[in-house]
Amino acid sequence: MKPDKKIIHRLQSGEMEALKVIYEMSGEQVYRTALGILGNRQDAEDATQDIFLRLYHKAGRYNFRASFTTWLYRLAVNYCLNLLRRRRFLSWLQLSDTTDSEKREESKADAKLTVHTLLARLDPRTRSLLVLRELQGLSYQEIANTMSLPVGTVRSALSRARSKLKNIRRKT
Amino acid sequence: MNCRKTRSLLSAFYDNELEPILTKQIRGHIKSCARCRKELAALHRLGHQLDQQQPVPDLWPRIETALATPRPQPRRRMVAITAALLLIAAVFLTLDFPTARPVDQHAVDNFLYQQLSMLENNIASDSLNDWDSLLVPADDIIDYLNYIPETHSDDEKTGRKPKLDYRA
Repeated sequence: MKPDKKIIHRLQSGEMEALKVIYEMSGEQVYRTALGILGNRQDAEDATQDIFLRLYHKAGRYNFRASFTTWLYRLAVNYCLNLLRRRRFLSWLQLSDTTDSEKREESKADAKLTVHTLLARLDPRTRSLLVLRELQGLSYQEIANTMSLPVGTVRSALSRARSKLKNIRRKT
Repeated sequence: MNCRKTRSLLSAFYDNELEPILTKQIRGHIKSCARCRKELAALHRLGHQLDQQQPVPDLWPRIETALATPRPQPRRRMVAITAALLLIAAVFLTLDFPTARPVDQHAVDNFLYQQLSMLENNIASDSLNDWDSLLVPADDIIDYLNYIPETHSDDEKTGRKPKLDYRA
């Protein structure tokens, strides 16, 4: 998942073929990250599509300071966290399109995915940290760069998240 | 190295993210402590459970189609939310909190009028098709609430009530 400078420049000049190359390199990682944070396949597919659309339109903002991978992960994680935040806000305003029966159907489908029901017990930000570590294998420093957090915070948050998940597994 | 210290560092040890000296100490402790070994095994099991690989669909055809045809956003909902945000801001800005900074009612009215005009323009020009358009007024409101107005230097000398200037 490390596109060279040439590909990134081509993407920045609006070449759709360059986006396809980057999708082939990193589409899977972006999808898995979105699935880990959002918790269901439909949302992860929609999010992956939107993340790549954003990548295409916002590629010009990439300034080569951070690694492209970090920048793309940040785009993906921020997109997913903002989506969850918006949903919470919309449900607070009672303007959400999702009805109660739809929510019940979603939770039934999610119950089959034990990994995601487990991850759903964590708050979205902590979940993102664990997804980047466990599913993507990022180092603490890379996670810290992606999430704009100190390395020490990443370390302690991961430790707390794992303790919590271990306790949940013991109880169930 | 005792059990308590080991447990607090076990997650970083599992991730191979500890300094070499601590790694060595924990490895030594784990050899002799069955309970900490069990905790480490639990971390491995959790890791395996989280790392279940599932098939990834090919989303490129969807992305390609979406790039060719921009998806319309539900405009009415965004207008409703923006209006709600402005209403909340209006209530906050007009309430008279005793500890809050003085509020220039004229500036508040101007600010809200500007935001509503901007929203109206967005609707008229049909440019309210992205969430960013909704977030702009919200960000402005937050900036406004955080903004500390300048006082005119003459006011300090004359002892007059400071005149607020919200034009940043």
